[in-house]
Amino acid sequence: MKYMNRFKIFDCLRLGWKNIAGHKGRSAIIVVTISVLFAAVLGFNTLLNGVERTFANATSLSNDGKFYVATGFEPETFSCLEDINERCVLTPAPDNSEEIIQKRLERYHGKKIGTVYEKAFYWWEERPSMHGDEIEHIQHLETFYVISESVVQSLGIEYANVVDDRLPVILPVGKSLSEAQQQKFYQVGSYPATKSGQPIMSGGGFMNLILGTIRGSLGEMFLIDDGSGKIERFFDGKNDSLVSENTNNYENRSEAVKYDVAIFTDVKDVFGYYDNAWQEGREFGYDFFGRYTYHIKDVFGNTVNVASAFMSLRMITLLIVVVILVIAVCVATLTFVHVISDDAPTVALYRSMGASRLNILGIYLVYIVLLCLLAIIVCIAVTFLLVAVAALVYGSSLAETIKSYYMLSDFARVTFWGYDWISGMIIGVIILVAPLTLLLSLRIFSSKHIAKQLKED
Amino acid sequence: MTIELKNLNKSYGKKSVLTDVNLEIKTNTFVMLRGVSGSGKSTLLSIIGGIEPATSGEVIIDGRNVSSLKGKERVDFYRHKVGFIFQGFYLQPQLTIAENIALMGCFAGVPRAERHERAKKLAEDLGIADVLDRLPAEISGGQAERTCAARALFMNPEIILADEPTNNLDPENAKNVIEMLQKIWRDTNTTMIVASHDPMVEKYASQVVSVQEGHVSSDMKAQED
Ligand SMILES: Nc1ncnc2c1ncn2[C@@H]1O[C@H](COP(=O)(O)OP(=O)(O)O)[C@@H](O)[C@H]1O
Ligand SMILES: [Mg+2]
Repeated sequence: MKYMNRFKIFDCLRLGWKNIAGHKGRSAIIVVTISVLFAAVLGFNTLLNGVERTFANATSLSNDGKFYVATGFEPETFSCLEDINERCVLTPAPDNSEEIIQKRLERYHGKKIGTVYEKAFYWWEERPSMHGDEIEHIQHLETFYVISESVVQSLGIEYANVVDDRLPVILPVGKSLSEAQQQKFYQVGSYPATKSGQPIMSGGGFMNLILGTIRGSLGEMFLIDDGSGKIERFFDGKNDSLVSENTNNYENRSEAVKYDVAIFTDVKDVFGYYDNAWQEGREFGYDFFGRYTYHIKDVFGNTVNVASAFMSLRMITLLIVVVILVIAVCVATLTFVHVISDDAPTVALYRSMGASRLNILGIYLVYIVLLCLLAIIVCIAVTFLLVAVAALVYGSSLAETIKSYYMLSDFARVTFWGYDWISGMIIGVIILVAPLTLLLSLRIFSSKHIAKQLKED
Repeated sequence: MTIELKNLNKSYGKKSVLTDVNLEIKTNTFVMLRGVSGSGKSTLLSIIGGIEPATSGEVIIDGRNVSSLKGKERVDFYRHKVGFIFQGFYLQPQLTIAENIALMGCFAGVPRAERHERAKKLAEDLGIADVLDRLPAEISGGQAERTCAARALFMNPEIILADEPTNNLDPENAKNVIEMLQKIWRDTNTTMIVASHDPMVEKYASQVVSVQEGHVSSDMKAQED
């Protein structure tokens, strides 16, 4: 009789599967071990993604669904090469800065609505000393943000009827002008940005870590540039009534940085815009070897701050994830290698029956891949469970924290569930265990001493 | 097909198990490898069947050196030339008796329906047709021995190598099994090589090979019926 003399795929699948079904206890232990190991990593990553989404939801609500993001190049970036001579260079912003910003805004559906200038000054103040009658000179750095009229209009703030010799200024809610400042600045509106200060959750170490990383934004105040020239005179120190009447003084410190302010209507776009800038960093962003400096900032809100906080968290957690993942892969692989070496008599039997090395590789590939697929299913189930427990334990306190942090009267959009490419990677890595195991088991599959495994002692 | 062993030596590390073995086994012979436990019978059987390499010397079957078989030739040798009946049964606990019997057919690419037919036929011949759907844990020692014989016979091998087939059986069953092997041998034109320390086996063999402290001597016997 002549046959194709070829081991059929169907038989390969069947033998692989029977090896699982026939050893239920062993299979269950393997599946549970692997799935729990990987669920720890996947669960951690899922929680992080979920909390990030929760913050994104919160920032959406607090901003009324509008996100003002400022993007700008530092006019000149001073950087030194780290060679022996420490050569230092001054790199001007690229000629096509505007174009670069415009293109990137378009990609993330950002609409340019105006500009904001950032200018830093030393502020000299004379104050009566705490002890005695002496006068103290206090110096501090103050940064002014000057926003264009068009941005203010987009905010819907009324500012026309301000007292003539003061500069109109917008403050975030919760911040008030000092007495000295009140003589120069006039508050025209309050924008409900996030409350500064960092509420700390009781017992939530992970949440505290996140909250600690997100800065309460907008300690700054925004001067409104209505085009009347008041602001230029103020910065030049030429406006007598504003500057020289008392002993306060400003000293010009740096060149102004001009930002383009864009409005986004989807929080995902803001996150994408920021993440992408970071990824493209070496192209035109901040670079240690003498390139440009590129800023992305929040205006009236902290969406970019949230994105940035989660990005830096991600950098740390990615490292942890990779370390745990490597350990999980090692444990899973060694478990399988151990199982296969326990199966050495079966392997020997198959070979004595004319199974080629490839046939046996096939059977065990099916065996491991099927177990891994089972492990993936259980892993996802365990992750769901972990997330559900986390939601139960931390859900309400996270909602409370966010309500007070963003001054929301109500916040129902707390989630602990989220996935990203790292989730995919974690699941993909489980399958990676199969080829690794087979590689480590080749010795067993191709031993010349078949009989040795088939001697009953 | 004759089996020729030439200047065969086998040692495990420093320990020499077989020394300068020269042996000829003619086709369609019932050979008994006789010797006390530890004399090297199993080792010799494994070397003949190509599942243990010799330290030196040659095993020539059909004019070809078994130890130099590579890749596909080796696989074909296992698939079509030899059938093993191991001392420990090595029945796969996760497979039914029918599946155990037909296992070799999977690797050789025998179609499923035909595998089933052949397993059934073999089981009927060997008196285990009623346990085909059971798992190995659910059958007796004698039935397991028969299953192993059926499994070895599945691809109609030219040589059957049986290691202590009567070892774990009571005298009654032992006799049944050895008679079964004799019947197989008669019916199928195979060369049957049985390693055993059981004197009872001797009277069924047409050639008795004594293995003693690594040395081998062979006796041809007149066929008794
Ligand atoms: N894989 C092995 N490694 C080391 N020594 C072995 C191995 N297999 C068998 N032996 C030794 O070889 C000798 C012969 O063994 P074996 O062929 O099983 O004898 P028998 O089958 O006649 O009882 C014994 O002393 C045994 O200990
Ligand atoms: Mg033995």
